[in-house]
Amino acid sequence: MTSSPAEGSLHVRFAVEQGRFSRVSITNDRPLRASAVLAGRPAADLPRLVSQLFSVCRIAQGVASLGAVEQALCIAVDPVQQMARDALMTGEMLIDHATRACLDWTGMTGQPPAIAPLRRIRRALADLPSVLFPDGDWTRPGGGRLCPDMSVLGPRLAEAVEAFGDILPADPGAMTPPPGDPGLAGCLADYIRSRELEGFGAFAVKPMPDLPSDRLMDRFEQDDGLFPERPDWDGDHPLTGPLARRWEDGAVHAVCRDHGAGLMAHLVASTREMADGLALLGALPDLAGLPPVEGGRKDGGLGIGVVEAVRGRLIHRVGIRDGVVTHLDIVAPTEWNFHPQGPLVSGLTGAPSGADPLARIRLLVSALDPCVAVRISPL
Amino acid sequence: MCVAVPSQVISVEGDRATVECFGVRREVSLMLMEEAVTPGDYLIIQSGAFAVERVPVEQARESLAYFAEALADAGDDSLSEGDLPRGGRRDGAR
Repeated sequence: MTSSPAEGSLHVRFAVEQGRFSRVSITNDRPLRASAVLAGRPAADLPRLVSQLFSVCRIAQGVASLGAVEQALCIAVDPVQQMARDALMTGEMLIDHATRACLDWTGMTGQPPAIAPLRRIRRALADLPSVLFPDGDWTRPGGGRLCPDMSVLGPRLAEAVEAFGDILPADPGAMTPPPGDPGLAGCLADYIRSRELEGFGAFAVKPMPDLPSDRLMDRFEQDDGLFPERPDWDGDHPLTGPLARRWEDGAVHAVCRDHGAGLMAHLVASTREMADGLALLGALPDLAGLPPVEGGRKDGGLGIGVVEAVRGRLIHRVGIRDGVVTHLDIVAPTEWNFHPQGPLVSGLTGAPSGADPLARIRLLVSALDPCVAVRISPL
Repeated sequence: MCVAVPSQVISVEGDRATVECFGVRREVSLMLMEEAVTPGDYLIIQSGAFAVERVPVEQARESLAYFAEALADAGDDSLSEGDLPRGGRRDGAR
């Protein structure tokens, strides 16, 4: 995956001995301090800018920033606004899963990109923010003008559900994609089974625990500010993302019991999340809420915003003084999963390398974070 | 960090385009685009090779100015004044 200099990339290097990955190292030249340039901007403008600049998961980034700014300024948000933000994040999560299935899964299994379903899904869901917030002000601290056009939303969701039929198992009750299932998830499952890679990348994984705001605030102050670059939690390097979120799901649990938390568990977690996301949007209640909150009770302070982006836990910490941003720190899911002692390194080290080690590494990288640019080479 | 930097379209041929961002050129697919693309447009690229969104010019310039500043802060000497788009210096204070 090519990236521009400003986007940066990860470099995974590996050594193979006696048919197994004996050493794996990761270097990271992603612009982890890019958020520093937002210091000096009006706090009220921060979520919009964050959403614009950190646009790989623009909705999740914007909502995390909103949470941090609103906490710092003591702005209480109407629960219906929060429900609308959750719906926007679900729409983004569905598009990201679909992108991964239609572009990455197909490439791994030797198929051409599945452009048609992905275009339909994007057409149905990409402008969900303007359907729910017609003034385009969903990044406004305190909430935007929430006025969903349900006559547009219903047909869009029906279109998305139909298009996801090309990805998800034909039997919606299937716990895992059954052999021979024609959907893209089924094709990847067959590919994994045919190479006996169901458990590839499994390790003694811990899913990401709850991260209380007060402890996060302390954590940011430790390690000379290295937390955003090399995060750990009580010395652990937990997994974050769909598999961690679906840890207690019966289907995921069954796969983990049989094969460990490897490639098949990642796949099943993603398919379950897609199906549940569609159901959640389909059951969206009337989102007409209270008017947006005007201003906060304070004009400065520290705030933490935590959300689940599709790739995992996303944390923002913002400092505000006199309504102006003094600093912004972002801990992205990538830095947890690709920590030098984290899930990718632990999952690969000691695993069988097979005839094509690069292909195996790409499979696990894609399962953990399909959006990040990664170079892979031997040590 | 999870940034997607707007890339400027240099040329279009069928459903493919050559785009440039901070001096790096790459060829991308336009198959996911819902709207027509012409040289000079700014696009967001995902999965390394697929344009997914056209960005208004002013917004693209604002974003590029921030990224230029972030690169300069990171000590990337490869970035020159000429790499910035016209009007691409941001005016916000730090």
